[in-house]
Amino acid sequence: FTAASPTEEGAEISARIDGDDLTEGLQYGATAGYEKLCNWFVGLQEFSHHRKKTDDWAVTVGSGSQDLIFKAVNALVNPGDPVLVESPVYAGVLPMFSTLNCEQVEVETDAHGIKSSSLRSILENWPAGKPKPRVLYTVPYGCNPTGMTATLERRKEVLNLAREHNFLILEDDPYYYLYYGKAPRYPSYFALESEETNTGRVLRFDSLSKILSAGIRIGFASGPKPLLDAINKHTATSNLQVSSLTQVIVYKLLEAWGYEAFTKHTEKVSQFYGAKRDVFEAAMQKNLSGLAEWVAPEAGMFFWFKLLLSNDSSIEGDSSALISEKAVKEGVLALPGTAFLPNGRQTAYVRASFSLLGEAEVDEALKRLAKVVRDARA
Amino acid sequence: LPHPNYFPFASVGGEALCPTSYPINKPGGSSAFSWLWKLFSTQKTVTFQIPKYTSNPRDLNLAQGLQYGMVSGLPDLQTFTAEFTRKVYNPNYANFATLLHTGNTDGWAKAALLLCNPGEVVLVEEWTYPSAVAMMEPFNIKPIAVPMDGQGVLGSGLRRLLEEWDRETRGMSRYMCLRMDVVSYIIIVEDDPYYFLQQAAYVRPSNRTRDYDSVPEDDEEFLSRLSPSYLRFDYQGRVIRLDTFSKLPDVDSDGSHATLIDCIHHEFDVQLENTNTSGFHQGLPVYMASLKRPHNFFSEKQTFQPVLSFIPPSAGMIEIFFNTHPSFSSTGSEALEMKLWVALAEAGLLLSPGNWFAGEPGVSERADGAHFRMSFSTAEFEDMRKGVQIFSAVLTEFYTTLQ
Repeated sequence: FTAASPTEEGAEISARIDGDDLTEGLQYGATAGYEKLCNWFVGLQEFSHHRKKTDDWAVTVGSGSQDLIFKAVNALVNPGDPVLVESPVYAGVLPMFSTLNCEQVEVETDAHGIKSSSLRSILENWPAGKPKPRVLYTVPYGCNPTGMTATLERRKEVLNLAREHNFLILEDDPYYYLYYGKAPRYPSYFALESEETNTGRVLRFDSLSKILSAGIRIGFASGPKPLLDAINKHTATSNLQVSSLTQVIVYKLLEAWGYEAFTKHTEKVSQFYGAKRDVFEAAMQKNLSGLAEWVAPEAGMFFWFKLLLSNDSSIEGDSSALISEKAVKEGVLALPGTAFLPNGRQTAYVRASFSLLGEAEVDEALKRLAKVVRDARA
Repeated sequence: LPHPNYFPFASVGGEALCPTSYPINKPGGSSAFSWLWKLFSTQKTVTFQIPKYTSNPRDLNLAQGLQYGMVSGLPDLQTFTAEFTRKVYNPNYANFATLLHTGNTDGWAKAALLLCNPGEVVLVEEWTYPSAVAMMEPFNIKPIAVPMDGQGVLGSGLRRLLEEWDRETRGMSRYMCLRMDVVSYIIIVEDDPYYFLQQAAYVRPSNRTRDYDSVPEDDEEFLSRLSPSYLRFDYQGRVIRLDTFSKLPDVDSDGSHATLIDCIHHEFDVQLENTNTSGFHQGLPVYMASLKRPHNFFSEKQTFQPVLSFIPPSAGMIEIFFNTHPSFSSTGSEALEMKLWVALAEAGLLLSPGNWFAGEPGVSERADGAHFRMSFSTAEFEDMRKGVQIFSAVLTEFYTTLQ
C-alpha cells in the first residue's frame, strides 16, 4: 500500500506485506490482537500519556472502540444496575444501557465537561441501602454531541469522586488526537490516575476512526487486566479477534511512521478540524446571533447549539419537531438533541457536524436554519 | 463522519493466485507443499489495486472503503452474497435476505441474542462447537443436547426429545409443549463453515480407482451432489444460515484428509462404518473455482474392532470414537478420556478431548467411551504418520496397563 508521509509534505511511503507477515495476516490470530500492534499501542500510551508499561495494565485490540465499549459494558453492568452517564451523551452507548434496563443516572455537563458538583451531589444523596453505580461513562475530549472538553480541574474532581465512591471511569476518547484548543492539552484520566499512586480505576478506549480510518475498524482499550480479560473472553465467543490482515496493514503503517510522525499527523488532522470549526463559528455568528446559544468546541467535529424558539426564555422548545416539520422543508438538517439524552426528553438543542461541509455550504445551511428559527419565533 | 482526506492511505493493492491456478485433481504422491511451489513458479496470479478516489464513485475506492459504512456490509459484497446464496443454496422462497458478519461464531452470537432471552433454551447437537455453547452461558441461555450419529442429528431422537419434554425439569418455556407443532416455534441456525469441504466416503488406497480423485467439470452437477443446506427445504423462513470464508480450502489442506485416514488405516487396520456420504467437488464459475478440491472417498461396510471405531467424516475435521473396554466403565468416561488425553500429549500428540465438545454437561459422561478430535488441515504426511503411530503406541499401552 501507499500512504501519506506526515513529515514530508506531498511525499508518500509505500509498504509491502508478504512472506511471514502475510501468512500471519491471513490466519487466525491472538484474541487480544496482533502482538506487534499491541506493543505499538502500549508504546503510544507511554508516548502520549506518559504512562509506563507496568504489570497493572495492558491493551486489547477491538473492532473499533465501540466493540470494546460494548463488551466492557456487558462485563461490568448487570441488568437493572444504575450507571452514571454524562448528559448529553454519545448516542451510540444508549442502546447498550437500555437493553440492560439500566437506570441511567444523568450527570450534568457544561462548557468545562462533567459538572463535578452535580456528580458529588448525586453520590452523596444516594439512597442508603441502594447499590451504588459502579461505572461512569464519559467522552472527555470533544464530547459527542456537545463538543466540550473537560478541564484539568474537573478531571481531578471526577477522579477523586471515583475513588471516594468506588466507581470505574470508562474514558471513551476518540477525539483525543483532534484537539485544537489554545490551552495546553489536559491529561487523560488514564494519565491522571498514574500520577497518583492509586491506579486501576480507569478503562480507556482509543480509536483510529477519526485519524486513520473509520472503516478499517481498529480501536484499543487500555486498563486493568481483569477487565481486559473479561472483554477478551467475550471476543473469544463472538468475533474471535479483529481481522488479522487489517491489523498487519495498520501496524506496517504505524511502524513506518513511528510515534513522532504519528503525532505530527494528528496535529495536521487537528488543525484541519480547527479550521473547520472557525468557519462554522463565523457562519454561526453571522446567521444565528440572537437566534441560538452555543459554546464553540475545542476538539472533535461537532457544534452543539440551543435554538431559541421562543421570546420567552423560560420555554424550552422542541428541536426534534422543528427539524422534522419545518427544517427539512427548508432544505436543512441538524440532528435533534433528544437523541443524545439518556431519558429521551424534549430539548431545543441540535448537533451539527462540521467535518465535511465547505464554507459556502455551511453559510447556506445556517442561513436556512436561521429562517426556520425566525419563523418559529414569530 | 470524519473527513476521508485525512485517512492517510493513498492506495491499497494485492496479488492473489487465480482460482484456476489450483488443480482440480491433485497429482498423486507428492507432498501437500511440493506442487504448491511448482504453482508459484508458473506465476499465475492476478493483481488488484484500490485507489483513494475514483472518477466513477461507484467503483471501489478507499475514500468509501476506509469510511464508516453500512451495518449490513459493503453493497457490492452484499450483492455477491445474495447471488451466491441463490445459486448454491437455492432457498425455497424468493425474498430471503443476506447480511455480512465477522465470522460464524459472531454470526451465531448475534442470532442467539436476537432469538433468546435469559433463561431460554437452545437445542444443540450432542457433540458441538464449544464456543457456541460457551457464548450462551453468560446470558443464561441453556443448551439441550439432541441425539446424533455419524450422519448428524437423529430425527427420531429430536422427535422424542420434544414429545417427552418435561417442563418441570427443563424449566420454562412457552416454546416447548407436548405436541409436535412445537416445531412451529423453532428457528434453525445452520452454522456451516465446512460446506465446501464435503467429501465422499473414504476408500482404502488399494481399492481406489483411477478416477478416485476426479472432480466433474460441470458446476451445476457439482452443486447438485453436495448435501443441501436447510435453506433448500425452508419455505417458512425459519432457517438462518451462517457462511464463512474462514475455511476455504487452501493448498495446505489439499488431500490431507485422505492421507490421515490412510495413516489410521495402516496403523490400526481399522474397519470402517458404512457412511452415506455424498459430494464430489466440482467447479463453480470464477470465485467458486477455488473451491474445487479432490476429496473423494468411498465407503465399505465392515465389522467393528473391539478398541476403536471410526467414522470417516464427509466434511471438515475428524472424530474418532472409542468403544472402551468394559472394565473401564466404572472409571467414568470423561475421567478416562482426560487420562488418555494427557498420556497422548505427554507422548507428543495433541488432540482435542471429546468432552470439550459436549453439547450439554453430562453428554460426555453418558457416552460409551472416549472421543477425540483430530484436525488434519495443516499437517504434512510425515507428521500425520508419526502422530498416528504415537496414537497407536499410547493406546496399546493404555489398555495394557489397565488390564
